[in-house]
Amino acid sequence: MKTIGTALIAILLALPNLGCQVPLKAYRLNHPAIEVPPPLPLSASVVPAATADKDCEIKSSICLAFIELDDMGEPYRKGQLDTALRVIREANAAAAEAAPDAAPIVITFVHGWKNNASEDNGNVKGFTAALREIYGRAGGRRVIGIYIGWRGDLVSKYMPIARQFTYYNREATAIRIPGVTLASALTQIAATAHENRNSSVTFVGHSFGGLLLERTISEATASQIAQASIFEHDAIKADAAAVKAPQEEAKKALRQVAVEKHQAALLATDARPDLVVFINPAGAATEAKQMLDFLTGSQLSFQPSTSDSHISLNHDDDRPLFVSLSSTTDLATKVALPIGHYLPYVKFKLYGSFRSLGGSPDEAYSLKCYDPHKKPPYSEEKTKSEGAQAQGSNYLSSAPHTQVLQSHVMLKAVSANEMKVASTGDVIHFTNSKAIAGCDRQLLNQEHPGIVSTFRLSDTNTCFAVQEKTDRCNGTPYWIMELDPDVVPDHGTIFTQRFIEFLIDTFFTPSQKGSVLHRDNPVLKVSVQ
Amino acid sequence: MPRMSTPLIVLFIATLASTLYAQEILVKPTAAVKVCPGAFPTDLTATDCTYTAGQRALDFVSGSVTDQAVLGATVFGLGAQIIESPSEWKRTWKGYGQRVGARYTQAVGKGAAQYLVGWIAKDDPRNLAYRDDPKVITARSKATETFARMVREPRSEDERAKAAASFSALKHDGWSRFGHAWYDVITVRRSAADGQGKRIPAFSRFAGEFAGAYAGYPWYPGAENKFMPIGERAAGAFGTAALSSFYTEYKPEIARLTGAILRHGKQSKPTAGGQR
Repeated sequence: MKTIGTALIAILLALPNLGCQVPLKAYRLNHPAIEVPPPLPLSASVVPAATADKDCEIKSSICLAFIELDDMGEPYRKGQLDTALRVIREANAAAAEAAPDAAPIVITFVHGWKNNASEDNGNVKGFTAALREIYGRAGGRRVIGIYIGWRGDLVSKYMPIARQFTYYNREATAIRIPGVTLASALTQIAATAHENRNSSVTFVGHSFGGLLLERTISEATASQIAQASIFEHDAIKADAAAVKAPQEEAKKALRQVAVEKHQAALLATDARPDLVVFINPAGAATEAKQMLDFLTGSQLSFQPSTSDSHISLNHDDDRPLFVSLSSTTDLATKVALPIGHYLPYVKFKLYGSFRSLGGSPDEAYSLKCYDPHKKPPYSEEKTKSEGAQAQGSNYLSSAPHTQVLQSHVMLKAVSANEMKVASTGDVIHFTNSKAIAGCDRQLLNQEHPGIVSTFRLSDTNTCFAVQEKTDRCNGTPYWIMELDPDVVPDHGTIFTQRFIEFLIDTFFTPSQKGSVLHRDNPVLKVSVQ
Repeated sequence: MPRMSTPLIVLFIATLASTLYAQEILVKPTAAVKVCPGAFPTDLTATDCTYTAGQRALDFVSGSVTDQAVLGATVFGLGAQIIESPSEWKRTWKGYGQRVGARYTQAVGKGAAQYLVGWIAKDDPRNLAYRDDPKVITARSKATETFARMVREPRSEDERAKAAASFSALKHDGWSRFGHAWYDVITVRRSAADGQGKRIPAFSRFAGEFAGAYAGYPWYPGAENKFMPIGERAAGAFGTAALSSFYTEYKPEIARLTGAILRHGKQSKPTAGGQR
């Protein structure tokens, strides 16, 4: 019996290597960009599936391009990126001939664990359906999806337990892939799409894809923001010097410098996406904190471009550049991530790798806060009672589940006069029943200010609201919040009408006028204290 | 005539402007709702709700044949080893092997019977939470629609109060959820493309539990192969089906609870609205 027991364990361990392993390979080399059939009228009952046989053409309304990377982060074939860029250029060219409103919508998706770019993959199917759904809401604008494929799936779905044990391996891969290849690809996607300045570029990362995207994009975006700020600053200086310059020739030269610097700033700005969404990201909060610290330290706000370069104190003008969202019922990031990170946590702890709160100034860990609408806008939270938490605790939680980092809360109408806070379960009361009945942002704001958007689910008609956290530490353009299970029910279910409705109504509908999914060219503005 | 038309134009512009700048989000009329068993409402990938042969085979192999079944047998076998059940099998490697073997055979037997009966009955055993049930979604949508209409339109206070009360009553769904979870244990839907297959008793589940219990027959000592111990084993196995349904129903609460248990470090409580 000892032999049987040993044999069983040996079989269990060996199975992933005995044909149950998902091979390391590219799936889309022959058809790197496919056409997605647009949605049919409501009367039609059959939904056409995307076909791998039909390559994307100039007249295609919806295109889906693939960029696949191996376990080391290297591309299988550079031609995939070239194809994706060609598709974007063609859409831009077609839009240039039409109205400016016809600028394409470019959405790049990075999948997570247990997924890849194969034809029968759930995320490929889901992303395809989401593109179709977005096209239906975009008023005829072209929609281009770019699917970043990597080997998120290591073991066959017929081996569900062995598959769970690939957690550390795939997490390490998601950390390894971010590098020159992906960073440059994403920069080129954004820059190419913004050759038409009305095109909107969104990057979405899910699960380990969120971790992968955050690691890739944070560094590039921070560098682009820094470049744009320096160039813009130089342009202003050159402009001021030109005014003071005594000779006409010097004035002309300085004005030329100012124009060139301004152009350079614009190019740096166009090389970054308009919005980055991390949904159920499976990365530690320590990943997000670096970007938060950068935005906090720079005291930046992301607001629509106006002649006034100062930060508007109207809350409606605030736009997110990054959004990190997680369902309150996402057990993978709420339960599995802390468990999975516990062993490395102990290891880091033993080596003294974590900084703790308080202590001597040369090693103490602190949390810096910034909110342009607060007085003063900048502060430093140091103690636990002030809400800060130690570095190790940040490592054991994802950013959306770390309450001190949250910038917004989601409210759901539960009765005629009550809304429930998704992250805590607390109930807040409204005396005017018209507020909830009409899902009226203005009326809701009259009783509980800070409601930045409201939306209804199309199937249940339930009213939801997104509200700024009142005592928030994070007032940066990196919005972080937990979602109600009615919007995102778990870790994997993200390709739903409900979630797309929430994203569009909250992040893509300008508060004033303008069409849905329209890019209003927000710019980063620096706080002046 | 121009004098008459001016107020009309003003009225028209005012109406248009109020429509454009109104903050209110109007409710949409309640439409037919389709939710596939095991899926989430408005899931874009769940266009055909049919429980396909491939899905049934995957659920059988991954749940009852491969590593999940081996792990289940190993862990539950260890539990039985600790409490020395059945007592005829000693706490030796041989005893442990018998316990693991019996449980693995039961898992395969259960899965095979469930697969076979389910395939014959063309059922769909996937659970659906009460809140995701199309009937519940439709009821919610209608109640919200009525409430919004009553508040917007000139109605009597009594009518408004009634609409508000029926809308608010939706949150008191404790017993409905509990009942729905049980109902989902003892019944299954017939597999249908629209997810609206007729409810039938969960024959495949019952058959699976008894087949699993009987599959242990060659392993267990004689005293354990009488109808009562077999029935007990079947009832025990049925508990896992109940757990699965209750997990689907109470996942939000379970997630909140486990998240709070695993939370590391002090977390500041987020505030909303009233605490402003």
